Amino acid sequence: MTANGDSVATVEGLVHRYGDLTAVDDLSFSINRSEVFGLLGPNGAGKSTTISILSCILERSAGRVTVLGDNAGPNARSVKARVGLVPQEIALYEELSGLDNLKFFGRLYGLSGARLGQAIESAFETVGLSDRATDAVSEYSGGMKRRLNLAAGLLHDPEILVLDEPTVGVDPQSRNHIFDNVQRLNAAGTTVIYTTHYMEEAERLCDRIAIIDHGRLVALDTPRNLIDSLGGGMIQIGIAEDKRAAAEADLLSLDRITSAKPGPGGTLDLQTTGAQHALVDVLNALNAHDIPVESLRILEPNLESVFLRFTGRTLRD
Amino acid sequence: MLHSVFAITVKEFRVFLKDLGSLFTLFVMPLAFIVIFSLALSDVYGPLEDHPIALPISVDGAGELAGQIAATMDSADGFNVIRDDSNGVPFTAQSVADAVAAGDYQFAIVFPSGFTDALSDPARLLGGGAGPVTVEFIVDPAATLQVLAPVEGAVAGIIQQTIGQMMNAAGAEQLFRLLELPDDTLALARAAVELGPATSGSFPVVIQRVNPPNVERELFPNSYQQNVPGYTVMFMFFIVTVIATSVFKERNSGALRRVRATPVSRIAIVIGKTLPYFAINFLQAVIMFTVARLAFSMDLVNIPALLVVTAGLSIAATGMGSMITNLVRTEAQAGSIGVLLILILAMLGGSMIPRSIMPEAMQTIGLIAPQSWALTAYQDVLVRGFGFAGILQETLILIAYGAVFLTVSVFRFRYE
Repeated sequence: MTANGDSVATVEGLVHRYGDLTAVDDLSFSINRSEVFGLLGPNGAGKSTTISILSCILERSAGRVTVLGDNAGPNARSVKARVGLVPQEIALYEELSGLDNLKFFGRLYGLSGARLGQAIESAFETVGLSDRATDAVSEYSGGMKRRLNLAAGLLHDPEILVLDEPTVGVDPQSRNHIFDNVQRLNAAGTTVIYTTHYMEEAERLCDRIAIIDHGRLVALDTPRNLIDSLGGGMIQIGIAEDKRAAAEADLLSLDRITSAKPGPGGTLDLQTTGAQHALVDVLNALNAHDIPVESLRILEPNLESVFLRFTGRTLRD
Repeated sequence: MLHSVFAITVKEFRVFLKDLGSLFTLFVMPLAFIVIFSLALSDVYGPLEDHPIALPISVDGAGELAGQIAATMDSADGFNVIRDDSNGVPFTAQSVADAVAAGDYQFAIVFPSGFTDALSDPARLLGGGAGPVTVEFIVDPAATLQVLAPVEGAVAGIIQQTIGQMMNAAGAEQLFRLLELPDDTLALARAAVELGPATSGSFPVVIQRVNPPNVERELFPNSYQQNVPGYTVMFMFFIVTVIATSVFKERNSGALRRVRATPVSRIAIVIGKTLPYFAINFLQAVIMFTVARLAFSMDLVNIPALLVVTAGLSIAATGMGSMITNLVRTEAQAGSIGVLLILILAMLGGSMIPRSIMPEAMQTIGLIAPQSWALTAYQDVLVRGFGFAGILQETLILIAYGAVFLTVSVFRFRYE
């Protein structure tokens, strides 16, 4: 069965609970064919749980998840055969050689004989480890292990490649190697689902980004649109509640302020045409009306600021 | 400083109380050993009358005298004479021997047909005539000498005492007739004979120790025949800890989670992970028996039959390893609970103490342990000299255990 239209995965009202903890809370989105779809959020946001469900290794608590036209779940073997998972941990057998690891995972995907040999050769070439194939994985550097971890997910030429934080603890050279691999695979038509808490990675690689916090979807758009939503930058300012309405009216009259909205934690979010310059105007205006400032934050136009704007927290909080 | 010592001590207690493995090793394991060893050896150390030895006897066609001897045995401390089979039918020479061959009893006595009539001949009674009458003492070859010797001695003693009294009376009567004693003297002489020693002539009843039917082996397993199967069976189950280490390592590395993302069923994973350990386990037993053969010249009797039993045992042992690994939460639990279970089952199964010297209830409980079936099968081959037919039931039971354990493993298999 194939997916309808351009969508290769659809998530509707997804909920997952670990005991009393709700890790994913009413999540809905769809992933288009041949796009790099990013899941951005801090540790514990629910990213890994979401991709575990999409990769059919975790049964959801509620909701509907369709991958490549089939219902996703631990027993969905037809889906598993068409999805490649590269887990966050180095899920390899350190005692065995890189070659033996790939042989093992290739066989689990039903490959054998010449087909298996070709798949292994191609995977080694893709990640640049052909010359270390027969070395024990325990002798690999951290970055090389990450690359082999990626190779093991590519053997069966998956239609969807799921990468869970693939660059954690990786040296810059291996990180760039992984970025290149992702871009090359995507260019060849592979849909990539990429989770990270590094905004630069998401911004560089992803066609669309879903920002997740506390298991909920807080924003979903292209990186450009998400950043543009901040305009020329944003000023997040804390003002006592009884003076907030008066302040909002005063600040909206300023030229460099394009909008003012209530933000997280009782702040006032001011969208500007240029945050640095607008800051002086804002402080002068508040000072003139004797309105004290309780907190102040400038959000430069980037994904970190987008996350901060929607959640009131940084990605590293 | 005291404050720091207190803080560290409290912390250490808290950490310790979270460590189920240590709690098991330090508290549950010794208690289990004390309780089970005490129960298993209660017959060895307790007074004999508290745990009489089951002694089936056939008096079929043997007459009144045989019944009288059987009654004397029954009234003696330490024996529980059984005259009927499980269907309530009086034992015959054949059925009582079959019961021993089946492992229901360790010993049995068969008084031959015509026993009483044969001993009513005074000439025979006094050691002449047609020669002695043979009473068969049927012994399971796997019975231990420590138990066999006192039982045999007690049986012989009761028979000799009863017949001896008859011999004294018969010999004296013959003498009295020759002497033509007057009646009053004769009464006194008869009373003296009742209290007197047995005659010194050859004894008219012979007790012959025999094997049950179809058992061609010599009696008494030697030290190797007892210990090699016992400890081989016990240590083959230690494969549990090896399997647990492997599975937990794979789980902890995330490799099993990754395997879950592949289109492979749980049953394939469980079987695939169990098969190599089955081979290793099988090889372990082969090496043990090979060493016993080469270093101690142990007679392996029937190597193909031994291999069949070993295969069944390996299936049960590796199945148990897989099941325990999937039932516990941590590797430490697998280590402590697994080892505790292995040792308890080894004790119950007869690896450490022969089941034959345990109380009957403990012997019955011991049937829970796959080890008991494996040991019986090994003894069937090594001691009783049975072939494939003799080990079929035990081997099938071991395979059934393995199948149940593996089924539980499949249902409880965890990737993370």
